[in-house]
Amino acid sequence: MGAGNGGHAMAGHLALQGVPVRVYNRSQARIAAMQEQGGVQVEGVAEGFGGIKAATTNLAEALADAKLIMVTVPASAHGELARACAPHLRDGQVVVLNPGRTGGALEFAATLRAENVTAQVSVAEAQTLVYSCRLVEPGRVRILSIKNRVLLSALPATDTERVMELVGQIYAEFVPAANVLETGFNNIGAVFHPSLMLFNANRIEAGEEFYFYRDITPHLGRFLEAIDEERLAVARAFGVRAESAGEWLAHAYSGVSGRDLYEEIRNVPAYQKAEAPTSLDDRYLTEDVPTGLVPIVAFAEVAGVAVPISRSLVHIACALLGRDLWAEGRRLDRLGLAGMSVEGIIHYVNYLYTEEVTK
Amino acid sequence: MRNPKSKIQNPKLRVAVLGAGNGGHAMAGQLALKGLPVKVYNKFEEEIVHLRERGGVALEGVVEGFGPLDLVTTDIAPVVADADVIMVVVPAFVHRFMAEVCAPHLRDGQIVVLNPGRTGGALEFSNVLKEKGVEARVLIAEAQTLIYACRISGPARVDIKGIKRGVRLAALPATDTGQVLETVSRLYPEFVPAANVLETSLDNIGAVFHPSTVVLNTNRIEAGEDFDFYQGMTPTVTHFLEAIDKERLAVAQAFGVGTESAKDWLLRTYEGVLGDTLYERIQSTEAYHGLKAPKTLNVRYITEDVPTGLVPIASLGELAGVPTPACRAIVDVCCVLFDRDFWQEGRNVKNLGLAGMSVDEIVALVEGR
Repeated sequence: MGAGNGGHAMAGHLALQGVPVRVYNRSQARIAAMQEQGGVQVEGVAEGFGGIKAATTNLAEALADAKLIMVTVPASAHGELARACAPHLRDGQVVVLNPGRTGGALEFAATLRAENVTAQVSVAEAQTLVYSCRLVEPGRVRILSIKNRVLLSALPATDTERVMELVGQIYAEFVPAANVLETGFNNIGAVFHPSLMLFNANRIEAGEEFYFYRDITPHLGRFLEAIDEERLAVARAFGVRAESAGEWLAHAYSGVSGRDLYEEIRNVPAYQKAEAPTSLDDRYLTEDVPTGLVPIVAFAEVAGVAVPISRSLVHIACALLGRDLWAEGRRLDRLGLAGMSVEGIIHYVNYLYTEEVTK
Repeated sequence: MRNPKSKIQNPKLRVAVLGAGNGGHAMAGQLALKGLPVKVYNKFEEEIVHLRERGGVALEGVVEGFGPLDLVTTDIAPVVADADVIMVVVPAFVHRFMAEVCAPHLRDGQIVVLNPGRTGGALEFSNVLKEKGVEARVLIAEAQTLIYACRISGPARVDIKGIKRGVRLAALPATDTGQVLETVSRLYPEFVPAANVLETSLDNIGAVFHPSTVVLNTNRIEAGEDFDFYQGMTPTVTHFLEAIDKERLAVAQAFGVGTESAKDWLLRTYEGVLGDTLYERIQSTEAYHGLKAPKTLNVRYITEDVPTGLVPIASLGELAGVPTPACRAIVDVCCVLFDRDFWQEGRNVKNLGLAGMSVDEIVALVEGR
């Protein structure tokens, strides 16, 4: 599902390994090249032509005989995609969100339920996209690296083993997480992206060229540490272990070190040439606020954890973009968690039943 | 021999100028040039060494000449003791300190004017005097803005680029405004009366323009990049400023004060301003051309305009039940960026002496009804 950077890389890389792949994308323009050449040209850490079965804008056709449905669309489109998939899903199919951001599997599952889907479908989410990649041109993707030890969890967590078995047939990189709260609270993009967008809002809109990560200054590094601490506190309140941004950098980009987050970010080799967006209408705001900061704040409220910084950034993003990202974003009702306590939510993500604890 | 006429004419007003920054230099210099006896107080010796050496201020720009000063000192007592008018010309976050040092020396009938008060200056000054148990009946007023556009241009020398007209001034309570203006207009005919100190206080345009623009440029300001502070603003940045401005206007409305929007303020204040949107009007404001952004984050755009602008606006909004999410968000972000608790150190309803009061009670307090 989805033929952006990640969709190209995943389809091409899996096809290259002989996995039968069908690609769905909502708009025809993105898949025209794939259709024409019958697959994806892959370069970088994997090389070759991955021939695919089909690339289509017809969801029914794409889903018809799929065992595994890999979703690579922006998290802000997960709800809409779930609604579109609902009539076509069958018993035993597995949906994996790559990645779910914060609350992806919860939103997907709640949407299927709202659409009265009766098919027994497993919904899971990855903590991050397994590839570092970028589209060279339509139909051609460069895979810069394949990440190690990407957390994956199903909803409920009791399904994770079954999903891992299936996904393990094509990827060795995934490792099981405790539950979708662990994958969801390990949302590092929600820490880095909106903050850096706001503190650079003026020059981003002015189209100034600068390096998004490498050019950060000490005050920003400290700010990122403070907002990260809020995320970690929320995760702790829900009994899951989230890596700090610094720990994550050290693990995702081995060998990165520094005295503080400011130095660590500036020392990440993969960040050296990452240029800043040239528009504020960018996924760093339009995705990472509604599917990152908004649900983190929503979970914090349930647990009574103060998150003034995260909340402030959402307010500023709303005013900047002239959009109500609180309403657009993942509120608890959209995640199927309205009215639940911390214990209720933990029980729900582990077992999908809350009756025992709410009684 | 006594000159019988001096009995009839107003005696010369004795002026105390508290603060020897840009504004203090201009005010002390020009009033002295007009022939008034002026004494200057400043907290730090190093900032008044030249004034004392030269015995006054050299003025250039729209005013030319030399204004001889009667006294320049770091000792508050002799400056305040015999002053008729005490002009406070310090950053608003220093008002509390000035009130504390003045308190023991104040006498009945003295007039204190904060130039400007920012948001809640007169309220804070008055509340400090109350805390200190001052019994002298002192008239306290605040101006909406500093009357001068000026810069210190050399040792004991100031360049006055412009003198503003129609600067609004209100006393606390408003029933004192007429009496204050009667005296102060002998120094400055430029002052005009405002309805009350909520009007002068909520007309804080700096609080709208400055902190948000710094926040939305934090990274490149800290990196020392050279760019135009005002003319560099993009449409989205000005949208954000308008969101902040709407909150300010809503708070003013809740207190029954008519305040103009930032974009209308630009149109009225500067000549040649064009366009309908805030973006267009800022772009066309000649006075902003070439005004560079600060090269450090430790600037009054934050250290003054957050604690004596956004914080009291949000705090008054909260008391009145007016939501100010954008103002609050900028304050919250600044607290983290600068590792300071602006909510506590800034002006809030508690330290302005307004906690527990209703909107109507506050309006009655500032009106003097």
